[in-house]
Amino acid sequence: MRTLLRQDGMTVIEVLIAAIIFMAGFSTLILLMNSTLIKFSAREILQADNLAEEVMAKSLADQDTTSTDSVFEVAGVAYRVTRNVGIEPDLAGISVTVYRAKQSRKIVKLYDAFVIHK
Amino acid sequence: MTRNVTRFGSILRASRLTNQSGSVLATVLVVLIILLSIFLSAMTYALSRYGRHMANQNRLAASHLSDAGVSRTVALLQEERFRPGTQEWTAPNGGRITVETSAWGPYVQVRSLGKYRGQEVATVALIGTSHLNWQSAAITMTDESNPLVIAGHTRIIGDVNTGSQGMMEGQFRGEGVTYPDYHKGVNRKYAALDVPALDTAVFDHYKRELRQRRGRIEHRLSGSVVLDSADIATLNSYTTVRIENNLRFQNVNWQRWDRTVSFFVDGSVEITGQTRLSGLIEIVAGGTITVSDSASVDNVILSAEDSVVVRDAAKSSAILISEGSIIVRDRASLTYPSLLLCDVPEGPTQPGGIYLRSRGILESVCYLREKSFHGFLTDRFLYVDTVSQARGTLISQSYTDLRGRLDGCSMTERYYFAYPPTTYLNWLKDATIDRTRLDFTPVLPALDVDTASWYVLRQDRAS
Repeated sequence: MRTLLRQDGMTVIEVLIAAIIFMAGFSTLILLMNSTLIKFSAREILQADNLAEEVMAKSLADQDTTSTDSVFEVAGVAYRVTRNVGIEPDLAGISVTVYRAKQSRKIVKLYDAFVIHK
Repeated sequence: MTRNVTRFGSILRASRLTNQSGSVLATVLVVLIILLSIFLSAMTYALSRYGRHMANQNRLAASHLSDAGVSRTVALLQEERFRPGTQEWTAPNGGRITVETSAWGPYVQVRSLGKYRGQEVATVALIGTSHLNWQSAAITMTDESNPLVIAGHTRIIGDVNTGSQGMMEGQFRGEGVTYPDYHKGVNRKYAALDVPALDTAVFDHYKRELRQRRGRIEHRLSGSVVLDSADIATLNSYTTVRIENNLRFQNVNWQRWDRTVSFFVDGSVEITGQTRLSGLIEIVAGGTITVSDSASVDNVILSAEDSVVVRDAAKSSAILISEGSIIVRDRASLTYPSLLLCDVPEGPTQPGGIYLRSRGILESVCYLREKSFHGFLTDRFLYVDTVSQARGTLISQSYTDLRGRLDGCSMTERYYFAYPPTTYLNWLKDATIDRTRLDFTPVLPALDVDTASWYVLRQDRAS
């Protein structure tokens, strides 16, 4: 303590400045590492996943081979859902992509397929 | 006091903090540490939650890719038949799909691995065939030289496919009065009917692979062995195990879906107690295999040169293969999807068959295979006694002796009924066959693949 007193309070200021620099740097680093984090909230990811899963499950169950582009609203948030179907011999490949309608940013993309029985 | 006025310390002293003996520094440090801890905790929580959500999302995508691999294999089977081996391709969303095709008994087995952004999901599926033209009828009998004779209280609800002789009423020495309303449905007469035959490409491939596995034993156990749950940790590291005498599973709980394990047992096998075996487990015995007590087997292959017996309250949704007999008895129940395959070796004197006795319950597929039907009476039967019941599809390339209840369909070369001292060919007495009570079409092994459609029999997550 005696040694610190001899510093005439310099350390407090240094600590404050160092902390501010550290926090600013750390925040920037976090934002750089996870730019998606500010794009979509966990709630949006969850809602988009559920929406994609629902559309995919229905497409597989109905064996629906039509491509669609529609907008769904879940708890006040609008999502654009596209379903693209690629037909191969005996097989229909389905791609379901969910975007946030406001920004047209892709949140999730699923691919599955079903057999076309003749 | 006038020294060094430009330093920040002077300002602090002017703010009457000079006599605090460093407590400000300590306070600032404590506050900073608290703030930093809160900040870091919040960031860590947010990041881990976000990471979890992303991992779940990627896992969902990987699971769909893995399912797509199974569907693609079914489509390839429709196009170019059975091609064992490994295939890999990239999906439209950037993920990778790796599919390994092999045989699991008489079914095609697919192990599909979906990979998406670091997440992997594996699926194991069994694929078989369906023959809607045969399976929609209650009875298909291929014998062309004799009619199908209905006697006693036999009732058939559903269509009947026969040879050109059709069907008629009959009596057993005056005592079997035919039920007046014995058939509801259509009788279709065909000139050249055949019981569907096992596709040799799939089943022979399985047998070849089995021989190869038998040739590279990784672990040997001498004498008779009793395995319990504690031994499974040791056995988990092996893929082929040989037991030089008898093997007994006693209260073992073992699920293995990541890779196949094969047990080659020189003697007999007993699966008893509360044993639960499921997954890619294959048990091949030189003697008898018995599943009893409250044991259950699921997806497992039980293959015996001698007999396979399922009894007591045992439950099975496994593939039972025998070169001798398969017997289901004493309230044992076999649930779909499972298969009883009796693969009788060539030679007219070799007895064998599938027998449902004393309240044996079957909801499954039975297949009695005979490579070439000799046409004369042998000891090879698919037999359902008067107190047993079956729900599903019964196929016999030899004789069928049906006396109990069948909810589903029966395809056979010939029916048979013994009323000593006489035996009756193509007679059905006191049996009930009701196709309308089977509300699904069972997926059969790979049979007559040129005329069949391929379907997924079962699909399980392996990871």
